[in-house]
Amino acid sequence: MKAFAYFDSGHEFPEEIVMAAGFSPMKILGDVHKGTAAADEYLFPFFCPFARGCLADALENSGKWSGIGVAHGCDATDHHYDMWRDHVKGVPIFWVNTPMKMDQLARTFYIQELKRFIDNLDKQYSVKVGDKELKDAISLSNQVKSLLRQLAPLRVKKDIPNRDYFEIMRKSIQMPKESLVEDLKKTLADWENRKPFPAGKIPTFLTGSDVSFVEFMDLLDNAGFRVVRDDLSLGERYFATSIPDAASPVEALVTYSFDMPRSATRVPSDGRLEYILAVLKDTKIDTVVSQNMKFCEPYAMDAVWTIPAIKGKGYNCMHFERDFTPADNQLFTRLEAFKETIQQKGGRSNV
Amino acid sequence: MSKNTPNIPGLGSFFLKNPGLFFKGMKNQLKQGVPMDLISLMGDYGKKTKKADASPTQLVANFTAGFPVEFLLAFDVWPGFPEFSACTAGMCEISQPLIEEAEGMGYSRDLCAYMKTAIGAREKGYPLDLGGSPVGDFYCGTNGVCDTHAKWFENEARKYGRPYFAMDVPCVVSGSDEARWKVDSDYIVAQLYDLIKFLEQQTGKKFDEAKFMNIINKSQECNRLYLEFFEYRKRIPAADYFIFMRVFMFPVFAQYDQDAAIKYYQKVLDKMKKRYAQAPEKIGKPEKYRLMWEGITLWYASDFYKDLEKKGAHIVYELYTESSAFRRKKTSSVEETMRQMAKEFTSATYILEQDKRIPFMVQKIDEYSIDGIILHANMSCRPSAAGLQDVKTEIEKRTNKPVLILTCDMMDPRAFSEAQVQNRIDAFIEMMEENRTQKEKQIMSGGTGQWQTINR
Ligand code: SF4
Ligand code: SF4
Repeated sequence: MKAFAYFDSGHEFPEEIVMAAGFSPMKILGDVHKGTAAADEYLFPFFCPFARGCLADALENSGKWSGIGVAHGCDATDHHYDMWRDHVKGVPIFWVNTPMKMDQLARTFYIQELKRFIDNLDKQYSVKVGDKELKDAISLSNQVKSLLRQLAPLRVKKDIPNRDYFEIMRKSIQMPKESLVEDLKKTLADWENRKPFPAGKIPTFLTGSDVSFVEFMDLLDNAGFRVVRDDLSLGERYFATSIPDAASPVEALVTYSFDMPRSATRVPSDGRLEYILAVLKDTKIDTVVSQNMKFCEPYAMDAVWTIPAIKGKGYNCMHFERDFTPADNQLFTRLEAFKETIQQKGGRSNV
Repeated sequence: MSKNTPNIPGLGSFFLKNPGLFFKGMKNQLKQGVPMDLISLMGDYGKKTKKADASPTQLVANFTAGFPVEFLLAFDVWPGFPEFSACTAGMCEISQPLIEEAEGMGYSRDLCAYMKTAIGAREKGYPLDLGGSPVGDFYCGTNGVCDTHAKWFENEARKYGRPYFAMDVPCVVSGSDEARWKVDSDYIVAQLYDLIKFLEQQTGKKFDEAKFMNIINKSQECNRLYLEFFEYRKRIPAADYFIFMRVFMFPVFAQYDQDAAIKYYQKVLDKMKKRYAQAPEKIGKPEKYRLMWEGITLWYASDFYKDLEKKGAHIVYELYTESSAFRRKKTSSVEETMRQMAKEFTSATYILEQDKRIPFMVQKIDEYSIDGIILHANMSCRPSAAGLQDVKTEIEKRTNKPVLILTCDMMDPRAFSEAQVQNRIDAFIEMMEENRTQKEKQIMSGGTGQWQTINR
């Protein structure tokens, strides 16, 4: 099955539609080792480096894909689409306009938008994406989400390094779903037999811009922060909820999109903080790491009010900007200092 | 709806506490050379905003650029416009400490400096004339131009516990077709009906269609007159330049006093008609180099524009100021107006998709007899900076005119390196000069005088 790639600021792109069209959805993540050079000819260095990395990836690899979908999320997805269209050659590119709001009007709009996307796929690839195909895709997608929901809680109890969690998430958005189900089942058996949660690691909630490369997860782990909960799109947003069973699969996808844990690109984004605080309360995690990809505006805007609110509840919370780079020694030192402060305070306190 | 307590200090009390800053701001504002009648029109907005803010009954709604302010006027809500205030602080060259104030509150260095200036000025208690703005009784924002607007006002409304109406304008990308447009338009129009309901709730008033259409008619007239002025900028020499236009656009943008704005624009136009009816030698000296500017102005750098002019280079056209004219087409019913608004929200010259933006600019280069183009890669405004490398490549290819990309910030002087900018401007002017010489040589030798490509 050929890959259909997508550029997405979060978890906005309706993977199930391209699955129903016979493709294997694959989220573009860029390659942090190759950097953004190929894209920098078209996008200034003061644009989100993750987004530039995705364009660089597409410029190099588009020949391997059947199509590319770009889903609206932030200004980067909106305003970079035209550059993708002009410079990523040899592959059709589709625009999916996810709404910013989540009310009834937005719902009506998004239903139309998804139907239009389906029509465009039908025309472009001479396929027929019907309700049956969509329902099958949704069912497969829900199997993946359900397995992830069994795997993710093991992070609190077992020794699951950050990189292992990242790896199952990466596979979930890049591997063909059929083989993924088997892979996740094996991983589940493996994780269940892991050693208990290691002493000395701080159970941590990770929030902020999406983390798209494993080295950042390693950095956190090496500094002593074990991510046991999160609200990332390469994380809990992807599997916290299932796509509901509804007569109309397109409407089910819209409901799913509106009901999943909130991202900073949606307005209002209050639900984001509510999710974080609810998780912290339920799980007794008292440490939050909030990171912002350099030039990522939606999460930087949210940080202004979410970070004081989290700290105000007495949680240890560190917020920082990071770059699209595999190694960041300065950040490592800051994280270690944060860890020391937590250890010295010995409990829930502000840092 | 409860009314905010008045919060904008007066200029007098600010002066007593900060005489140095006051004089700096006033001096820098005066050096812009803005005509007195326009200054007084802007000052009037400040006075009336302050009065509305202090009134126990007058509601003030803050709105972002791109939001259909006419709806607020139809409900007798005073339009507060923080971006306007930010521009004032920029012109007064006092924006940097305000930006830093906002950064101290947690706003990242990489976020829009309009927003940070306005937030910083409010936090520091600056008067309107120096960047301050009222806390809104409610907030009206849209993502039609950028995400920043929508998130900025979301944050403000949350901070002050005020209602927020966010309008979601679907982003139009290159290659969009009519079918998509219809869906987008339906979504926008439905939200405008929602906006009416929201305003009815906030004000306790019923929507008065006749009153709204009267406001729309005036808005259209105001826009017509404003845009007519651009026709005189096509003339050689042009009617006026960017440094004037960036202030000239405020009455049409804020719409707070439509009658005064119409009167003012009409007066300016009458003057232009007279000027251009004269013999050519009386109209003025032709510009040596006529420039187009894409992106927002450098508010804090009026000297930069003056230096350009000293070198014979005048900015005669900018997409930014043209995009402040929204209501361009006559409409006769609420529904028709809403449909037209939907079109305008998604086609403002400031946010054109690339496949429209480039031909549009090429057309303007021709209409305005442009010799060179400056593209402002604005670090504050990623939506407008996106695509500029391609704009440069394409425009150079299609017109053979020199194109310069300047990476700066419209409001944050920390991103402006005078020496570096001057060097690049000098090289740019040399290119225009070389083009001019080649053209002259060609004509002298019987050629067409078509512009030559310059190897750089
Ligand atoms: S990291 Fe931020 S700016 Fe970049 S694509 Fe994601 S949401 Fe957009
Ligand atoms: S400068 Fe750009 S980012 Fe800032 S408010 Fe204006 S359009 Fe938005």
